[in-house]
Amino acid sequence: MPPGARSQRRTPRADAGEAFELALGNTIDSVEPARAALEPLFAAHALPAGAVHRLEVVLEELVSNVIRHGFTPGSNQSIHLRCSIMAGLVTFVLEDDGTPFDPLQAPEPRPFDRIETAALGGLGLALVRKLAASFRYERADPRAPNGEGGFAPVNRVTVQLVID
Amino acid sequence: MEITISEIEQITKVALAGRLDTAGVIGMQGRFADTIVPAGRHAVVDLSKVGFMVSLGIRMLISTTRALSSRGGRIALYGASPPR
Repeated sequence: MPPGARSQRRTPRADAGEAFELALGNTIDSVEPARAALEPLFAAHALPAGAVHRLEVVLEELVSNVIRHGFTPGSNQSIHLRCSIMAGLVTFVLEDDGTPFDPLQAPEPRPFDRIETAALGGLGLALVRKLAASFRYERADPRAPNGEGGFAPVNRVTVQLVID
Repeated sequence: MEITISEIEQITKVALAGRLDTAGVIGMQGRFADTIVPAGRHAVVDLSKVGFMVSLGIRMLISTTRALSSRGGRIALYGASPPR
C-alpha cells in the first residue's frame, strides 16, 4: 500500500451499487494515494478524461484543505473517503475526526488583474464550489468509535459532481 | 513532473511536463523557484505539456512570479491547455 493510505476496501452494497472506501492519514502525502486508489474505479466506469480531471481536482482540493485546516499538527487522526458512482452522479464523502473545518465558509478569493494583488489562498475551494453540483458540510457530535482503529468521525463533507 | 531549463537571449526558459497536482508541485516547486528567482532575469514558462493542474500549481506560479517581480523580472506563461 502506498504511504498515506491506511486501508482500502471496495464492498458491494445493494443500495448504492459498488461503494469505495479508503482510510487516509492526515498528512499531505495522503493526497496522491487517494487519487491513485480511485483511478481503477473511474476506469471501471469508463468515465471520460475530462470528467476524471474534474473529479481529481475536487478530490485533491478537498483532501488537501481538510489536511491543512482540519487537524492539529502531529495528531494521529484520519480521513475516511467514500466514493460512489451511479446514474451520472459521483458522490464523494469525506469524514474525519479532526477539529471543525467548514469548507463552505471559506471566503471567495478576490478577483484580480495584477499578479501582485492576486490571492495566494482560497483558490482550491473556489474550484470545488464551481465544479460541484452540491457541496455540504456537517459537524456531528462525537459518537462512540466504530470500525477499524476506533474511528469516530465528527466532520463530514459531501460533494456531488455530475458526469456528462 | 519534469522540468527542463534553458536560456534564450538572457531569458530563462522553463518547460514543465506532467501533472501539476499536489504531489507534482511539492516535488518540484523548490527547483522551479530556485531556477527562476535568484537569476533575476525575465522568464518564460512553457505549460504545453502540463495536462492537469490543481490550485497548488496556480499558487506556485503566482508566488514565483511575485518573488521574481521583486527583483525586477517578469514571467510569461504560455501553452496552457483549456479544461477538457
